[in-house]
Amino acid sequence: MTNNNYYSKKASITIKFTEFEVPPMKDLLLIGRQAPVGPEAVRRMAEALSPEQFSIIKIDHPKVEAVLIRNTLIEMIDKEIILQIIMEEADKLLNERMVLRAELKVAVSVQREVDLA
Amino acid sequence: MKVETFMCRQLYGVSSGKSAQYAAEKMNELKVGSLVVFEEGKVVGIVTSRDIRAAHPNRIVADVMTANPLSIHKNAFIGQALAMMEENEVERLLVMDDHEVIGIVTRETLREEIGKNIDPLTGLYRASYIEYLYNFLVEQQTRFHLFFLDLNNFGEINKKYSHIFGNEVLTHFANRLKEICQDGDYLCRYGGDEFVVITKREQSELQFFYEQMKRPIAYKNVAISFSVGFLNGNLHDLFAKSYEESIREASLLSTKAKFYAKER
Repeated sequence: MTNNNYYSKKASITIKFTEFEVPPMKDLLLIGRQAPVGPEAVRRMAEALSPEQFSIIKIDHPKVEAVLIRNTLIEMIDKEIILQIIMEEADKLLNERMVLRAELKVAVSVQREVDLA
Repeated sequence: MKVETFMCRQLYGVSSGKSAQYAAEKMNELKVGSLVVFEEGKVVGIVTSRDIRAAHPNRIVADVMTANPLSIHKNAFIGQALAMMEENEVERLLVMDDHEVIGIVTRETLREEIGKNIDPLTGLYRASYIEYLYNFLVEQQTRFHLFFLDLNNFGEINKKYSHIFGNEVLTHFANRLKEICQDGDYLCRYGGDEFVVITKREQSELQFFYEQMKRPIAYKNVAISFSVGFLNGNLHDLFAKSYEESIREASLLSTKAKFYAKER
């Protein structure tokens, strides 16, 4: 008696190459209170990948424990103002288990008038 | 009753970069409730099983630990250590010998130890505790004052109204003392109907304290009075006297006060 059943075991491999962005965070990371990574881990990561470019700001918020922010942003605009805007917007999207990545661009427009001699 | 006596000398550590999950497994394996967190050889925190339970297991220990943990010197009095933990709502203190961490002490251990020195009837300290406290203050050269209070006619109250009633009088009196005491006052039922109060109050506060103490008090219409022997730490060199000598002196002063009160 012969066994006519056919048995095969194969693996399919799919590879997708994309460029790893350095740093992997953009301008902001909002870290939830129960997120898998905490502020200190994020700070260490940022410091290792982009030394002296980011700061961690711990905040008193029910869902968000801290915000990692690009230093240049808080050099351009007052930290409290930026945080207030970020939190107003993020509060609707974020839960305490999430880490949210955000881009924040500041465009400054200046118009000055001078007296013509 | 120094902290050193009750601390755990075995310190188990974890690096701040390890995961909370790793720390939890290590605590389970070692059967301990906390680990000291090290970073480049320095102590930077304590992580407890409670911290771990409240955090995501993927977090690193640095994000879960209590940073800059409170510490206390090995020679500190255990009451001081317990008060520090309760005030700061922490369960553990690092025990230091100058700048070196030599152990860890828990609130549970100290509570248990101090509990052994509590008089079950009145909830005040026993004489043994106040003796340790006295010797500790002398050793630390901390100025203090000592009151010896002796209830008047307590034997007659017992005979007339029963011992159960007498016990209620003692409890009532102890509660009155607790009401007027504050941080830095230590109450003790020295024995029977005798009480000792050690206080670190300033000289200017002593008169008020004494007046509060002497306010008329009664229990179920039975007046409670007592005699006081007082050793003012500013006038008596308590640092040069042993505990026994001071108690004897204060006790004699209260007996004299009782005698004069009867004479009047």
